[in-house]
Amino acid sequence: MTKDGSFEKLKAEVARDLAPVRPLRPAWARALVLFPCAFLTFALIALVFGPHWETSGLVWAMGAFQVLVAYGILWVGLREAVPGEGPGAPALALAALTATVAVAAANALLVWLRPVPGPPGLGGFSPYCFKAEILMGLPAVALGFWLAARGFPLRPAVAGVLGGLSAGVAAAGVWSLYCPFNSLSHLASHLGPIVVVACAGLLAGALWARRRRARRNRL
Amino acid sequence: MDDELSEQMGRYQQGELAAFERLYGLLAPRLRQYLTSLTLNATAAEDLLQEAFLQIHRARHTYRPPHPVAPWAFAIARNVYRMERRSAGRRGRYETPAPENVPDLPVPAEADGLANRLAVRRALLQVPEDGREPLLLHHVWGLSFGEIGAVLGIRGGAAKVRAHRAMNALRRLLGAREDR
Repeated sequence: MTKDGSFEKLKAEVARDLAPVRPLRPAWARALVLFPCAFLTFALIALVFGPHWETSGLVWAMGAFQVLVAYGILWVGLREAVPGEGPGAPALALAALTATVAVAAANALLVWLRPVPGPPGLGGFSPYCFKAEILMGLPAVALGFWLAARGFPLRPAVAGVLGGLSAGVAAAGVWSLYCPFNSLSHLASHLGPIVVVACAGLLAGALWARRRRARRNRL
Repeated sequence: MDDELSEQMGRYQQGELAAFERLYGLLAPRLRQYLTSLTLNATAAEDLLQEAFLQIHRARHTYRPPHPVAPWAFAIARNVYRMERRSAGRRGRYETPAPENVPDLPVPAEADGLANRLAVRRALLQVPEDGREPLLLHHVWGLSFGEIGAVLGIRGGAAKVRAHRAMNALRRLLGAREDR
């Protein structure tokens, strides 16, 4: 259809699907969905493992900070998914770097202020924390990607990796409220899943881009 | 023109076909020129224009009134060009046309008086693409540097620097004094 380039054909194509649409809400408003999701995840964990009210205020503060950072990343990711609103490659790189440094610094501060040695064996690494965060992060990636796909991402892989990064950081923030350990050797159990979940977002975005290309080539 | 575009876009989102026709009438000449400046091929630009309007149709819910329509539409058109270029590159069919086959490119008003239009167009072709694009977006289609940054995925300041360097290169090629 596109090859013959006729306006009449284009008009017919448009007329076939001219249902009224509601403009997307701003990215900052759509990203707010992260907070009830983080709260629900927290409530679910509390139901399964029982409430940990003895968790120190410092750990709560760091957990909340990580969820806030995750919100910021999701906001940037959802902006990226709207044509002409993307913050640009340097700003994206800066946002991702800032988020990484903020989360690493928050965890390191916690280790410094309230050190609790990691589990014995595996050099403090806990496969349990690693798996739990990935299990929490993957549904969050799906949610972030669904939100991004409701826009019209011109660079789906970039939107995907930002959605994945946000999901991973939020999962790490929520799970940190239940993890009793604070040691540098144990940090890999918490930061590793962020990388894994971000890669899942990248993969989802790349597959989306490939599907769109294939669809376009069929036309 | 921005207000009119924004108004028609709002009506288009509400499902008015007449608003789409009006929007096409307002946007198509600018997008056609833009795509021609990217592809350097009038036929390819015409094909991509139709594809860009299809993408605009699919993405119409992502336009948020009362934001300017032009940067949103230019960003979609640019993406259509990039996808086509990538596909053509993969198929090994991407070709840069010979200078004598390049269609008429729009000429920035600031450069119009420096030489005859043909000489300006030839000089414009020698300006690197990463500078020519912001130069034309600003001086021909009137986008602000912030809007150009959003279209190209760079900072507004970077877009300004690129456009300025491209204008200086154009002046140099035409033998005029550079703007400091």
